[in-house]
Amino acid sequence: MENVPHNGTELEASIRVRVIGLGGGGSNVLAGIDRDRYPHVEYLAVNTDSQALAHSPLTHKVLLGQNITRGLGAGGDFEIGRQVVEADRAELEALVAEVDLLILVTGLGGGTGTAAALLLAELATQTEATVLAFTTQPFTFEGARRREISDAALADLREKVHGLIPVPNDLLLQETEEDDTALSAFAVADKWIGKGIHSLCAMLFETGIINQDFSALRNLLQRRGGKTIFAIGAGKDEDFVKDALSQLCDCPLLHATERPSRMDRILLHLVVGSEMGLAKIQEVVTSISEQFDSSKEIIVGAVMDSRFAKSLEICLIAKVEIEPTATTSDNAGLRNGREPMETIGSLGLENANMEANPKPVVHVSKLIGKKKKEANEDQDEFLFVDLEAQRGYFEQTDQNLYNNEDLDVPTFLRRGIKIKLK
Amino acid sequence: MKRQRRDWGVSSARGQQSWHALREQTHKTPGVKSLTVKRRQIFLYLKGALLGIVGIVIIGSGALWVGSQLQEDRSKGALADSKPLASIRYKTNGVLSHARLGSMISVSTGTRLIDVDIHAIKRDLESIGQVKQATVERDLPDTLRIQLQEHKPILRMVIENAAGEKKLRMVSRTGEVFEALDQPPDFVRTLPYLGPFQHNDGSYFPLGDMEQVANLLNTCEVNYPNEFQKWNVVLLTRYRGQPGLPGEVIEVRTKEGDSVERLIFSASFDFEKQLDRLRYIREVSSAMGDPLVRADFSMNNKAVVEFKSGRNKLL
Amino acid sequence: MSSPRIVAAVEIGTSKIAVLLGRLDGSTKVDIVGHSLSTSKGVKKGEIRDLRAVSDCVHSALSSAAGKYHIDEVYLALSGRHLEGNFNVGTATVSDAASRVRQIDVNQAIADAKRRELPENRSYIHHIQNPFCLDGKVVDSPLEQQGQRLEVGYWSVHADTPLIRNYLRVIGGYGMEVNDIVISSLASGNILAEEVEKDAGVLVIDIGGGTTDWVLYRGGFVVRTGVVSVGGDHITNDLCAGLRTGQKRAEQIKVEHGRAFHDREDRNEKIWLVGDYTIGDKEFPKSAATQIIEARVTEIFEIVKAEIKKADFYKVDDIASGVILTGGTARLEGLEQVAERVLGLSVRLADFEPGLDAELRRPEYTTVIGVLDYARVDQDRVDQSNDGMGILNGLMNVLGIQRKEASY
Repeated sequence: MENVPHNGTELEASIRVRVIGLGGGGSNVLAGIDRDRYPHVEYLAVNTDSQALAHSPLTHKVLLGQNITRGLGAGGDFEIGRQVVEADRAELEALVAEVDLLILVTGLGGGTGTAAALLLAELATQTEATVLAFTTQPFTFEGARRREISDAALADLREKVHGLIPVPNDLLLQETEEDDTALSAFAVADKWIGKGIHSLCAMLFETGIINQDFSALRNLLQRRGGKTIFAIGAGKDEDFVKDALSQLCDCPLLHATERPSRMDRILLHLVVGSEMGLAKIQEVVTSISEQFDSSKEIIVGAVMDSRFAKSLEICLIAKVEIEPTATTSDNAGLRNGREPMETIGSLGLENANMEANPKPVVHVSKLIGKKKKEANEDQDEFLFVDLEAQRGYFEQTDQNLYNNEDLDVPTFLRRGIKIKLK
Repeated sequence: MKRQRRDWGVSSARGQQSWHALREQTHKTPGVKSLTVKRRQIFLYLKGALLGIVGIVIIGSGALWVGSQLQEDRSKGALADSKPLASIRYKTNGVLSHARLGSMISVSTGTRLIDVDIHAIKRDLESIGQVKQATVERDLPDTLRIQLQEHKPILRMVIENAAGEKKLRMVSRTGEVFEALDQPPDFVRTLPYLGPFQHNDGSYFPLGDMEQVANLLNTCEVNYPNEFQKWNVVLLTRYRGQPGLPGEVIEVRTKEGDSVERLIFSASFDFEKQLDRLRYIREVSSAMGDPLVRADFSMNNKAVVEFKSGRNKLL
Repeated sequence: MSSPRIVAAVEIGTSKIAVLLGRLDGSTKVDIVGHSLSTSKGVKKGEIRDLRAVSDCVHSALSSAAGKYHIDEVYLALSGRHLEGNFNVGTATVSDAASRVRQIDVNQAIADAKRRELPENRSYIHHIQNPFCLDGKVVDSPLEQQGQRLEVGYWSVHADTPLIRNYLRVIGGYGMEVNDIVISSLASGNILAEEVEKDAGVLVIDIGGGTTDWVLYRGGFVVRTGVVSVGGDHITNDLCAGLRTGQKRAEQIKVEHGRAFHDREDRNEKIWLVGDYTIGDKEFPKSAATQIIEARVTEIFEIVKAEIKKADFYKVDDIASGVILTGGTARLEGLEQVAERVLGLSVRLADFEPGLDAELRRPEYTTVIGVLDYARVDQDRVDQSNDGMGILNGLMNVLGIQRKEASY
């Protein structure tokens, strides 16, 4: 094949891929991606912050909650985020329609991104779309509350999407250089998520030595829920095979979750330089197979990138449907859905012109006796509805707080000790 | 186990609050008590009830007797000394004006003081939300004394009733919600708005104790009046009114021009320290020329601060 | 004294369930007649999460330890973050005209110390007596002494009631009742520290899989106990995250290459991540592992130190016998050095009872050996009293004090 990454086959045109960056964090990731490489992929930014959206280089933008936040953003407040996305449900519904692969990118723990991801994922369950979500989790230093929101959102999201790839910022800090600030960790997240999306696109849109297409991905992900393992690695020049494998194993996307001992299905996609023959590819596959789960057959796809001689890019996706360690108690205490405050969350902004002529803040009529609307029985475990109760549950069992630090999180991560693996 | 050891110096806890009591509970089938226990309980219950009845009878009859004696005395003296009502002496610890009062109670001069229904007046006064307590006394021969304790507003909130009417209401330190009467508009304007906590059943009322919120506001108003002026909204979304518990935070939204800041105070830690940290954060913020967006004091010792530039800092 | 009883000491830990079967014949001797050590399931950070899984594990552990014996009594070791304690001082004014302390005064002081009400859902496990003070002076035995004001302190340990119920249910499911519960730190501490060490002051730290249990002795008394819900499993977990490898390999690296502190030289020493030297395998500097472990281990000791400081007991002179380390993680190379550096006390690793069966010479058994010893002492009490009422119990304590001087 030619050294053009996309070659306009029928296949390409028939798969509709939409990548949506949600909130400030998600939009930023997409801004950093080379969006021209796969022109059939649609990139969208969704935010409540009109200014941030205006600065985004993406062509498709959706501003949410103009009536509630007036374009000022949700301020990282999940409650506001929730109200906003609920109010603009119809617009979000349109975003999940007529798409085969939906990739959500968001930072969890804040307002817009968290709430929009949850709602979009929920809306997408009504469609045929396969949904993947890349999420970043807040730093420990951002406080317990953000983490609680993020943890709960993660658990909820996991059930609704086909594949979830979480990336904790704490872990990404490890990737940054010695004197970098927390901000550079975001940049690292952007880089990895961007690469991940590209790798997926390469698999879907490029044809080559061993073809794998969307049906392979869909087959791999099959059902919603479960655990997804995702890793990418690349190497060039002298030790390109070794480097790519080593990067694959170090990939922060891979280490965000505890790696399960067994995987149900593994899909491996390679973009190889012209110097790599089938024998070498086989060697790489065997090596990876041994490191992950050798008991499973690996579905392999490979395309050639003839621009380079010594080059290898690896993308690994695996799925575990049911976690063997899942305990029943994990969902206890997450009941009692209740209607969130109707307009109270927008206080800070609504009050802007309250001085002269006070406007309603609390609509008593709406506050009392309103039940959760049309409870969708199956997905009723909308964790957020009772964050308070949930927090109580976490404190009693899951979190291990000492002086407000979660002791279960590795000490070196909390203290920001950089571990050099080279 | 060959080493010579002394006693442990430890004793297993026994008695009611010990785990041994649990063993008894789990041991016996719950809900099924032995006959003797039941009998003893019934006996104790009857004994208690009997004692109670006897006590009530004694106290009741005593009270009746004393009451009747007093009634006699009072009516004798009052009848003799009572003249038509000439003046109402009025005292309050709050802001309710005399004029307002006049419109609130139904009594006309000329009525014999003894005929004035002071209980009805007290009832009327206490039906006013702003009034915490009213004392109404006859001061013979011709004066009525009224003393009021009023709720002092610390916050305001706007509510909407079923008919869609919007009303401004005041909130007191004890969590009472009432209509503002005679509150000076300049004062009301300084009160932050309240976003109340939502109970498990979805309701917002009763509001619950605002003591800690009042302390925070007061600490700020007294020590950092300029800061307090900016405080626009107090959000209790994550405050159940139990300051000892972890995670209880009081959120304050400030407003200056178009920008809204979020200040998240821990309800459990010392407010003065948190406010002092806020002062410091403001200094840092202005030194950096980077406006504050969010300051979270809910972690002990350090605050997580977010600036407009997107920078996060622990201060 | 009485006919021999078979007592099972059970520790339901985060990673292991240890059962020790002992025959008590009323003497000071305990014959260990059975033991089992099995993998634990359904326990997190020392607390029962999955009742059924735990029950299955415990029941099979009990059966395998019991063999042909019939278990008469079960004693339980208890740990977990839910354990808390409070220190209460009880006082009594000496009532006798001649200002001589009588039993009634002692009882009153004891009752006063134990009267603190617990919040709902908490249950007392131990009331640990501290010395008597007569007019501010410590006295060994206050009876018959001259004075006005008698004081006694108690370190009272209490636990989460629903969790205790679960433990009782697990044993109840085996058709047994729990005779008594001992917190793990006490069980290990009492068996590991010599009497002279307890007198001089000693801190015993037991780092298990999910929790770290500690007990501080001073002047022969248990003055504080505590639980940090961090253990060896956390080290493994940290290594997984930091080295980007699986649980199994991380555990292996911890055991084979782990050291509690980081050394400059570690930067140059290489460890293979997977260990099979194949194409995907790669090297990483040992410093990566040691840095990760050091951060965690240091933090554990820092927390213990902070807790002791908070109780105002952190005085080096009062902990003259230093620190005794035990538990599975005590095997970690260099743990003593880190403990020494952080705590500022001399540190030694626990040694085993002389004459102990080779199979039982594992730190995992220390707690249950301690629990058996507790059962041995407890039998004397059971013999002397068959009632568990508060006052009588207080009296037992006094007897205990007096017995302290007696030989045994």
